[in-house]
Amino acid sequence: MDPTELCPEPLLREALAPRRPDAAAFQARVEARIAAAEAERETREAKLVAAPPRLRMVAGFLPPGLLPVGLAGLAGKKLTLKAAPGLLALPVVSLAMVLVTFLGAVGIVARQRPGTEGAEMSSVEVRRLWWRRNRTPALLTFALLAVLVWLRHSEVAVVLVLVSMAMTAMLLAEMARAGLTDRKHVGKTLAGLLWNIALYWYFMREFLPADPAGIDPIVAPWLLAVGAAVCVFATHSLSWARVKEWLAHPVRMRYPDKITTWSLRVIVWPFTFFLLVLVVAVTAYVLASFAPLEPSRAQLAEWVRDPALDEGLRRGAATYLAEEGELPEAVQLPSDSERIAALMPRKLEVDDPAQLSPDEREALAMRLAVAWPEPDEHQVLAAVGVRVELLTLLGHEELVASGRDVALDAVVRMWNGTYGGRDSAGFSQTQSAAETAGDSWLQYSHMGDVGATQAAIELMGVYGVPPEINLAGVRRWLLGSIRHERLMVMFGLPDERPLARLAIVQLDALAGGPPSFMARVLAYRVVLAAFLLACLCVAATLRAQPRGVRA
Amino acid sequence: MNLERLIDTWRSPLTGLLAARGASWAEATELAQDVFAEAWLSRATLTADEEDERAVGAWLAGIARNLHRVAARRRLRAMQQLPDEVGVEGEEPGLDDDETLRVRAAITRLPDREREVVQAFYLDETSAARVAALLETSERAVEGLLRRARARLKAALAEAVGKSS
Repeated sequence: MDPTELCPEPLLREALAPRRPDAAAFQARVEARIAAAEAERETREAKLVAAPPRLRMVAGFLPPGLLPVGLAGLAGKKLTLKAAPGLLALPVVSLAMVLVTFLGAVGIVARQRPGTEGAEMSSVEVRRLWWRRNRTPALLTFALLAVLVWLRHSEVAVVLVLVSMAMTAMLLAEMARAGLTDRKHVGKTLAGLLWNIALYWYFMREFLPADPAGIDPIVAPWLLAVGAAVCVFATHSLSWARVKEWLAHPVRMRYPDKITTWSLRVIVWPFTFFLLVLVVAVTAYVLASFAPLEPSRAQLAEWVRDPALDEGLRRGAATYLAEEGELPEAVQLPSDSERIAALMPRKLEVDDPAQLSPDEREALAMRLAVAWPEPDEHQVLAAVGVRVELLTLLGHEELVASGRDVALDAVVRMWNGTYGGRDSAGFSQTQSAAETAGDSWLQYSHMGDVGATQAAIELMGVYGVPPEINLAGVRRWLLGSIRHERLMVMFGLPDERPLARLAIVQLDALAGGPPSFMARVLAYRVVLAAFLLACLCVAATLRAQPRGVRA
Repeated sequence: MNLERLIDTWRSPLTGLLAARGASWAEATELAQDVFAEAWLSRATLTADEEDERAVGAWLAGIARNLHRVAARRRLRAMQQLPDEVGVEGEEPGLDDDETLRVRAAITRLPDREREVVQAFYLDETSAARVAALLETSERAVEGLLRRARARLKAALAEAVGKSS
């Protein structure tokens, strides 16, 4: 390029000269900043020295993310028994460190450059040091959590994590009181940990079909996530204006002079609207999750009157109400003959069952009493249930007893098929002969089925409850399945919620009445614990001083 | 690490670069001071040889990027709280001649990348290698950008003179 076509360099230097910073003043101001930061660091260290020894000890093994800036030098101290209160924080700390290390390994947090906030060591170095010193207890704790979930003791794992999180929140609050940290750090840290636990909880529920109802799989993680969001809001005192600014920030940075207030509104409005819809949807879902799950007697009466509902369901509800003396009058239930007609073609291949003569009914009853289903027959519980109902309808209740062994054997087998006997489980539809013989790992792999569970409850109402069956566990599973069904219905699958609700009513009758108030509260224990934990984290954030070591 | 030398070497290119990225000159100077203070406090994290200008430049650029991001957020908030006419940095009348003012105005209209190299390079005496280190690019690329920017400025100034006469 011809030099004459270029702007002369002296002219450029001359034009920019007035903008040139004064070297001496520049250096003096840099030194003043350094002096102020070092004084702040000394203040922090003095506060740390003045802090209770127990707190110093516990702070020592907290990972870098949980340590306030400036205390990073403490990170990686070896865990000892003197830090016993901090031991309870280990589960949540281990989970967080595994996640952070994984994200670091795949490069998601690799862009966090060291030294941007005055830390004495880079976060990567502190993380490495922490792992070097606490590898064994941290990995053992993580393994314990994984094993507990694998063995279907997920409730124990969750309680452990909740207690651990509460302890961590209290530790951070105590550190804030001692002046070692501030609200921003406390809020951000607790929000991150709550998100981490919510994720752990959610995936645990997704991959392992254990305990779907006792620890409510959807509501509790949402509560934790909402708690995390509130912590962040409490940290930043966020307003809608701040949220809008945050959303528009990338655009403003790219075109700082081109964005007007009007265009800002146009860009942000859909996000604001979307956020609003999201908040309303989540709130509605959480509130709906707390609605009563069992049907009221009025609802049962409605079902009995509704000819569009499944007849089995209507009769079940009618039976329950009749026993309670509350069967509505003028209810059009199918007659016994009609019911036999409805049931028989499924199993007995009789052309016109409604026209059976007394002799034919006798012969049919005898045939039923000697032809109980095989244990590995598909839907064996429903098949046994149909025979029991038919025998009753045919007037041969005395023959029902002949199916006792078959029925109870099937009940226990289908319960074990879903790995029953643990926190909660329903009954499966089937068990093959190989599974029954114990030759296949599939014997524990079946999912619970609402229809099979309701059939099992009816059979237990007739033959009694085998000692292996945990009725409270079955109830918890049914409660959980009602929530799952809500999603199934959204995808156009048949709605089995009424059947599950009826099963709960029948189960309660079997167990001698519905659970007490305390038992109901206990059924929501983990949800309540999650709620309290979220509140504790928000309170810890709000109680921390806004300006602490970073002031 | 010698703080005085670090500042002397990088003060001007860094200030010019920050000013080219949307900060006012006063803010850019403040921000550059923050960058040096931060760099000094976390000097242990610089694993490369401190004589290696390319590594030191990239390291400073990383710190500057983070601090600039935070400052930009603060500036945006402040702008929203002030009336529209406040906060726009204007030229002080009477201190410069017309040509100087025209050059500065033309620089502000350069494409982002060219404005960055021009302000980083011509604010004070420095080398293309240092500017390249701050921009994490090659020296040749910086020289190419400088040539293109100077040609664009020459054309813009000629046009401005033609209009005024």
